[in-house]
Amino acid sequence: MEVGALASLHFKLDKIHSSRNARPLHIFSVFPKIDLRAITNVARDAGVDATITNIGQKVYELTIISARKWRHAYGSLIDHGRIWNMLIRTVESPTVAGNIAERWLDRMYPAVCRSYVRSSDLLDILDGLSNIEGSKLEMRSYVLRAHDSPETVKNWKKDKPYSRREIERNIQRERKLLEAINFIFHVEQTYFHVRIQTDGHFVFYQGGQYCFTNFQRLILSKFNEVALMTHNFFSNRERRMVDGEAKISRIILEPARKLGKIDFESLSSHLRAKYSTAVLHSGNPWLLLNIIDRGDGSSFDLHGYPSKIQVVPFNRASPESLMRLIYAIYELFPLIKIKEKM
Amino acid sequence: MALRYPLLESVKNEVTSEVNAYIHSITVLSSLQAYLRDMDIDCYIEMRLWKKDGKHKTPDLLIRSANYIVVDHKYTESKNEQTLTGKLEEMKKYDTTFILEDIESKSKNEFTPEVVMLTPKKIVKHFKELLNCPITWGYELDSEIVIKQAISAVKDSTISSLFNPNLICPVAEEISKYKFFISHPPLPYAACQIYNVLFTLSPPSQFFSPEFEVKYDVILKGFNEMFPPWIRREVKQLKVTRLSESLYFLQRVGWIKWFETEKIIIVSRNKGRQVGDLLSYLVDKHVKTEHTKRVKEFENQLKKLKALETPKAQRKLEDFR
Repeated sequence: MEVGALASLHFKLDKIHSSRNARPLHIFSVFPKIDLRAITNVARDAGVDATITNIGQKVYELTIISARKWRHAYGSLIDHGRIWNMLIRTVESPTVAGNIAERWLDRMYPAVCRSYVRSSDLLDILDGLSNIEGSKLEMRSYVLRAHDSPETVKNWKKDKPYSRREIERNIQRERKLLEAINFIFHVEQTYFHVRIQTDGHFVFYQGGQYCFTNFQRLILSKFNEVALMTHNFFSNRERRMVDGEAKISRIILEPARKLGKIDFESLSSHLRAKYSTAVLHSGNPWLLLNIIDRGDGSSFDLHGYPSKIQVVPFNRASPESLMRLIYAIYELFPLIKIKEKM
Repeated sequence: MALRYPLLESVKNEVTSEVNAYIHSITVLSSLQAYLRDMDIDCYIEMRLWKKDGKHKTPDLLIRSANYIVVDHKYTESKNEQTLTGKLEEMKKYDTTFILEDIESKSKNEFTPEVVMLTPKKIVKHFKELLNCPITWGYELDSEIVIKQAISAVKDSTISSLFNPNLICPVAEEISKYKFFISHPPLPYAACQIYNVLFTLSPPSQFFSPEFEVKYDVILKGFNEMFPPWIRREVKQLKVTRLSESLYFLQRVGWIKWFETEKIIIVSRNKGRQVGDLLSYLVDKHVKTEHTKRVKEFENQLKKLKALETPKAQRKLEDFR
C-alpha cells in the first residue's frame, strides 16, 4: 500500500536511530515554490544537483549535491504539499550533512525556502511536550546568538527541570536570539534526543523504540503547523489595487527598547548582506530603506522609527521573502514583536 | 564670476544634496499636507499660481487659511553665503500678486500671499545672518517632523497658533506611496526607484535565469498603479521622460539593456548584486558623468577666454591662475 511508504520510512528510522551507533539525521522544514517533479532541472539551473525517486505516496528518495566541492548527501523527502520535510544524511561526517544541505538550500532559494519561526514558538513546542502526562523533558543545552558574535551555548544542569521562564530571562538579559534547543524527551517508556532550531533545521540523534515516530508526531508535525501559520500570516501582503486605490498591507514590528541611529546603521548593513538595498535616509533617528530580493523579485520599503520598524511590501512580496526579511530583522533585534497577532 | 575648475568632490556634494533635498521634500511636504488637512486646513502641493504678467510660479505648498500662505522648501547642506543668498533671491519671486482660478466657479481670485521659507533647522542660523530673510520655518526630520517658527511668524492666526512652540507632525502614513513630485527628480534617485520596480515585474517562475525581460509599457503602467497620483488626480508619478532618462542611465551603468524600438528592457540579475547601497552607487556613477561633462565645459570656456584678449576675460583668467 502506498500509505505504507511513510510508515515504513518511520519504522526504518525508528530502527536505525535506536542503535547507539546511529549517525545524526538532519531534518529541514522547507517551503517549495516548484513542483517536485521539476526539482532536478531547477537544481541544475541553481548550480547544484538533486535527484529524486518516488518510493510511495508523498515519499521520495533524495540525493543532493552542493556546489562547493560537489559533496553529496542523501536521504528522503516527504511531500506534505505546501511544506516538505527533507531528511538528510551523508557518507561523510554527520556535521557535513547539515552543511551540505544548508548550502544546497541557500543556492535553491527562492525555489525552495527554509521555514523560520520565533524563539517563543520553539518554547511553545517545549511547553506542549512538558505538559504530556507521564513524560520528562530533559534539557541538555540551548543556544543564544547575537548577529555579530559567535553563538553562546548555555548548558543545562543535569536533572534540573525545564524552565521557560529561566530561558526567557536569559534571552531578555543578553538580548540574543534563542536559536536552538538540545534536549531528550522521555515518553511512554521510550525517548528521543533532538536539537531543534528556529530556522527549521533539526538534528535527530537517537532514541529508544519508536523514537523517530514520536519525534515526527510530537515535534516535527507541530513545527510544520507553526511554520505554515507563519507562512499564512505573511501571505497576500502585496500592494493591490482595490477600486482604483493602492492598498498597502504593512507589517509593524515593535522593539523592546527605543532604537537609535546606531541600531539603524546595524540594520542597514545587516540587510545589505542579504538583499540589494538603497538607503534613502538614515539618521536623526529615522531610517528609510528600499529593499530588493533579487531571488524572487519581492520588494519592500522599510521605515525605522525609535519605537517601531515598518515593512511596506510592493506589488510583489512573497511570503517566503517576507519571512526571511522579518527573520533577518529578528536576528538583529531578538526581542522585537510583530504588532499584529499571528 | 571667476572661472573655477570643477572639483569631483564639489560635484558629489551638489548631487548628494539634490537627492537629499528631494527625499526631504517628499517626506516633509506630504506629511505637512496630511497634518494640515486633518486639521481641516486646505493646502496644495505644487499648485501652479499665475502672476498678473502671465508668468507663473509653482510653490511647494500653498496653504489656504484666513490668508494665503506660500511655503517653499529650500534645502541646502552648504553654508556658503552665495548659495544661501541665491535661495533668498528665489524666495523673493513669491513676493507678488497671484491669480488663482476656482475650477468649479471659474471665478478668479487675486491675492498676495504671506511667504514662508521651509528649511532644515540646522541651516536657519546661517540664513538668519543674511539680510531680507523671509519668514522661516526650520524643521527637523526625525521619527516625527518638528517644525519651528524660526524667523518671524505668519500673520494668519490659525497657522501661527499651530506652532506653539513647535509643530509636531507625524511622517505621513501613506509615505510609501509617494515617490515623485511634479518637479523633476534627481536622476540617481529616479533610477533607483525604477530599478526597484523592475524586479517586481520579473517573471515569477524564472528563479535562476541570469537576466529577465520587462516591457517598457508594463513598467510605466505598473509603477503608476503601485504609486498612484497623490498630488492631483491627473498627475502621474512616473512620466515617460523620467522613465526614459532613468533607463538610459541604468543602461550606462550596465545593469540593464534597453531595446528602444522593441520597447523591451533586459535586466541582469547579477550585475549590481555586490553593490552595498544602490542609491549611493548610482549617485557616484552620475557624479562621474556630470564631472566629466563639467570639465569639458570648463575647458571650452577656458579656450574661449584665452582667445579673447579683453581685460574682463584676462581678469577671469587671472582669478583662475
